[in-house]
Amino acid sequence: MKRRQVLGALGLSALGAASLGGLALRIPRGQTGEPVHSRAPLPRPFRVPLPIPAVARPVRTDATTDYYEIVQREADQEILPGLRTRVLAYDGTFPGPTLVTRSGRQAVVTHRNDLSVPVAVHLHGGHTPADSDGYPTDLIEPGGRRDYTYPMRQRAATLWYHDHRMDFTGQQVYRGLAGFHLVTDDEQDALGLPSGERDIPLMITDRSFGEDGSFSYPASHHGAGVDDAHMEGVLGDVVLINGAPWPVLEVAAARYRLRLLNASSARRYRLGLDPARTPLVQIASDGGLLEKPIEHSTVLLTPGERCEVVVDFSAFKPGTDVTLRNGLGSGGTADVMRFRITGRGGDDSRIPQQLSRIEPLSADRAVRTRTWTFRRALNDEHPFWRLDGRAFDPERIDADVRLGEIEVWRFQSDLHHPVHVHLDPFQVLSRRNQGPGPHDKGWKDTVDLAPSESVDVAVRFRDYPGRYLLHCHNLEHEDMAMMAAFRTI
Amino acid sequence: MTAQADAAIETTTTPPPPDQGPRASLQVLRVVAVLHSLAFLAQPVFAGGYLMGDVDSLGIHRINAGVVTGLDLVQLICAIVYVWGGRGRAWPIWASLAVALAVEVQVGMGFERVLVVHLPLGVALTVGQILITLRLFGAGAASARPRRARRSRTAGAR
Repeated sequence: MKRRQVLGALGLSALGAASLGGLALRIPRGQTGEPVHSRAPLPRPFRVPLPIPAVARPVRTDATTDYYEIVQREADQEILPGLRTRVLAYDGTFPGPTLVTRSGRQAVVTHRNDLSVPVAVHLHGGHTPADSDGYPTDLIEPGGRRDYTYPMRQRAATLWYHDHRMDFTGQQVYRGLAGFHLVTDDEQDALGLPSGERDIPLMITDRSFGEDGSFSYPASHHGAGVDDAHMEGVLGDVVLINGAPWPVLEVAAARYRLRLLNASSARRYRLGLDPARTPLVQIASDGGLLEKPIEHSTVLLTPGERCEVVVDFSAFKPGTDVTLRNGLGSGGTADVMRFRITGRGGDDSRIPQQLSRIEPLSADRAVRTRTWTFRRALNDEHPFWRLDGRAFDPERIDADVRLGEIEVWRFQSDLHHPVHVHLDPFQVLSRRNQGPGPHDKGWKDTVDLAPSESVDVAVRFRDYPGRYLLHCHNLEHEDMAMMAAFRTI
Repeated sequence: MTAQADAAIETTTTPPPPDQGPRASLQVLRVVAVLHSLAFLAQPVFAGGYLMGDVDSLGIHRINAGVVTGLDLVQLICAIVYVWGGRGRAWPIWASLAVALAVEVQVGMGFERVLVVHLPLGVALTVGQILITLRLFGAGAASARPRRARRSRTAGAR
């Protein structure tokens, strides 16, 4: 009798623990974010063709500089089939036009604001003078215009430009203010990587839609930032690639270069190809080429990050579908897009075993170590996010850093925080006191921090004195004050 | 026969036969102890959800801490009824009281984010509560405590 009762009690405990574990599995995997559910009927995946954003043409050029003009305006765009979505967009399209500029050749981009809200334009990954970096209080008011000067003293890389208005970045990017900016240079051109139509920029975002097709962004009732229930970050249930839901791209049985960008507010992705065993060969990171290619079965992409991979479709028969999936998604967000192999095509591209040289920023040469802690504010009336326990104050300088000096910056997290530093890329030295992770190689400007993680990076800022930012690139965390200003001197 | 009836007989009429152990009060105490154990087991699940990045899980962890605290009191009351009314052994009172006091410390440590105390104390409390529950399901819990001990404790309380 006694044994039976003990076994019964044990069994009950096990049952309870198991069902609680099942409950825990409902938590979105690998995310700090709160889902928003679409009310609009959602299309079946892999039906619409992948759009490629148009490349912007300079309005004029002179001996040193290419000049571009972009008008920010509202437009109605068919994102879900049969429905119109009001977007805030660069030149009226989401994503905006792709800027392709040359390393060493200055670009001046004039933005005219025909929207009803103030904006600030930040070139993410740009080595940019402070007055053109899009400081969140450095606004273009409605009806105004402004020249952003990009000297382009930086190597080839996949950059992106997006809105950075204080307290409103999350919703204004969500509504469409984002575009690619690709920097090219001789070094990269000489490698023989897939190019032209086989060089595809892929902007990955997640969005949710109201019944009428409008974006469902849970803004707070007073307008700035997000409502309290979504302070973790906004997760959509539709994956958009270049503004199209789960699109399909027809490809030749050849090598393709995919420039992956996570432009989502909060969602992290672990991207892999199905059928499995189709490797993603990483050639570049946020700040351009790696030294050597790295073969991954999946790549982790945190908000703001870029990863360039080469995929070889030549082993597939025409008619085969190869699907890009997200290991951190569930339901619709587990699918990303599809490649349909159409036929054979000549392919003279290659992936050299030596891509570039990267000067290591050695910790031995660092003049100091700074710690930056990304944590939720505790015991406040409203939920907030804090960097080093402080809310962002655009008038306060949180650190002075000398140009040219190497410093070790230690980032610490409570939850998932993608940490982004302006002005110059950094190198990851260690993660949890171990070596860099598989996705930490090369020059980075955004680094993924898992809960209770510590990542050491080596920073070195060059050329431009002024006021710059570091912040969490979960855009809701950024809007809720998880940002700090540093000054280069 | 109910616990109240047992108690009434003990105080007003002749003492019951010594082999009559607690019954109804023990069954109630067992159910409460099992529920209490489940509430304890849920706490690391919710804490784990938070550590995986989900902020809402921390809110549920806090709410469930309230459930645990409430069940502390319920279990203590049931233990008292079991001992005084049901003539059960005394240890469930002291064990339940110890759990209740430790949970107060545990909740305070949690709110103050003193995790070096909060985590081990949480593990110890969960293990302790499960051991209490298992012992309540053992044969010893169903037998009456020795008559001499019963009398001296009753006298001491007066």
